[in-house]
Amino acid sequence: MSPAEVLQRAIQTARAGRRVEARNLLLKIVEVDPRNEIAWMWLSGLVDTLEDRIIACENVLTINPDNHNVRTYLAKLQQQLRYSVKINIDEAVGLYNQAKAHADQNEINDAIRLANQALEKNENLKEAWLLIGRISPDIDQQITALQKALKLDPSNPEITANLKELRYLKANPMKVATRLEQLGKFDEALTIYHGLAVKTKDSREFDNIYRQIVRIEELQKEKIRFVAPTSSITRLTFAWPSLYFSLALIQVGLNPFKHSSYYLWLGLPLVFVGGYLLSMAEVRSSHIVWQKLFNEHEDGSPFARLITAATGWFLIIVPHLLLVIDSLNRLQNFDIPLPPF
Amino acid sequence: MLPLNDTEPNRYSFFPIMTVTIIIVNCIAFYVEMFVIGENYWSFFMKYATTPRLILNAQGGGALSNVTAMFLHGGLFHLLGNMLALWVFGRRVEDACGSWRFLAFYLLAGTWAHILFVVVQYDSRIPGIGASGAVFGLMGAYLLLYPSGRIRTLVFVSIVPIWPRIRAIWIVLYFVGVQIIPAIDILLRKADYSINHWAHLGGFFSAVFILLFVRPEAFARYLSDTLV
Repeated sequence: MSPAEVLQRAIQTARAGRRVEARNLLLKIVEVDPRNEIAWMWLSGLVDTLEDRIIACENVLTINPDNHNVRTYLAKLQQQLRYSVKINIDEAVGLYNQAKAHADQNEINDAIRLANQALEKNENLKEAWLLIGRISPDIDQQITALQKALKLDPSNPEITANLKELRYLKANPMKVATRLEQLGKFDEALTIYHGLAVKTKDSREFDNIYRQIVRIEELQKEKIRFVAPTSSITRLTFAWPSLYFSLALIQVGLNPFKHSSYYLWLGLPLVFVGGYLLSMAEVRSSHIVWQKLFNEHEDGSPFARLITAATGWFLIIVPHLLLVIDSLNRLQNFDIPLPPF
Repeated sequence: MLPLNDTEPNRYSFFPIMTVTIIIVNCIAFYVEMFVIGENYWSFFMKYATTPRLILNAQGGGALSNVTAMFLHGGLFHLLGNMLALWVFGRRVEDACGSWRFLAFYLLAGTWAHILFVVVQYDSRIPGIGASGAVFGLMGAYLLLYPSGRIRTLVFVSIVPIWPRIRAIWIVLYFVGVQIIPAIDILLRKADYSINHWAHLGGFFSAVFILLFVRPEAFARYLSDTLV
């Protein structure tokens, strides 16, 4: 059968209402003869999606730019496409907002389901990928989501850093368990520890995992409340400044206005920073400081902690030393009063 | 009534290194007081003890004197009493805090003891010495952290000694209670006592700061109403 006969048959089949059969015949024709204008024209009415119709029309116009009917039809199709895309984007944003509200209320499963629905409407919605990357309990899903987000925004350093961290955590499941523990998700941490205990062949590592399991189970048994690392850091930050404040107060005769020694009070913010660094070095948590200063993904290596603690101690000790020097200066110029008796 | 020991074991640390260090430093300071300073004690105390009038006029050692005063004692029984109480109440408070934060809290309690002493007896030219303000801070802290704690205590029934385990709250209430009437007497009549009652009360009330010093695990236990 010649191409012209096949085309004729396809047109008759289409007129008879057998669209799929006609479309298959027309696709065979354009495969052999991609510049067959009539075949593309018929195809533009037989393909299923709006996008395919537009492609067919564009092919007709490439072959024959003077085909005004098809040009008008293409304009209509493009308008329809814009409208449907806009609807999809609006729906996707609506679903994303719902997902975010669920995530804020810690309803993770609902949030992920809605975010996925949003992405079905518009897979270019970066925020939805980021949300999944942030909240999903499945590390593989998190990595995939962040990869998609990075494709949409390749120059975003935050996504790159988060992705790097997640890949690191995937390679170090013990860290994931520790991280979950820091977030107060003891059950999930236990699941990971149990999984690791089953897999490990090293007896020392098994002992370590077993200790972690026993520790968490005891915490759960005793119903110990979870205290977020941030809250512990904040609380402990105030320990040393409260001492320095009391000492400085007594140094100025309990009256900073009468016996002004402003340099003593300048020490207070230093002690605060020192106290903060010291408590940060003590409380294990994944802190931005570890990332920014030491380029580390987890909760601070022993080296990073040591440096942070040493800096903290330095900032605490120096103002206290200045206080001692001030006291010694005063003692040097001090006329000892006679006994009252 | 003489508290002897807290019979409960430590939870977080093996040995109360800072408590023992403070006891040793106090003993060394007492030795220096007795055998090195000797007759020159007045000028020594003026420099290294807390004298309200000097503190308020920003004269003398100020903060340094406030700290050194916590390590000076007026006699052997003063030293022994304070050190025994420091051991009894300090060991588990140190366990809950960690050594360095325990030291910070100890100094803070002693400082607030002196602050209250200076505020109430602002006109006094008598130097205040002793670890008791800080030790009262430890008592208060102990009571907050271990409200159901029991202390092995030596008690004399007539002349018969017995050493039951008494709830810490009764011991602390006893020691704080005996401060109140003399403290009121000092406040209202400016009565002269050789014991620094207001410093004791100041130290005791500074115990409210203890929650800034306890380690995270102990704080979580405290919040959970479980044994710290």
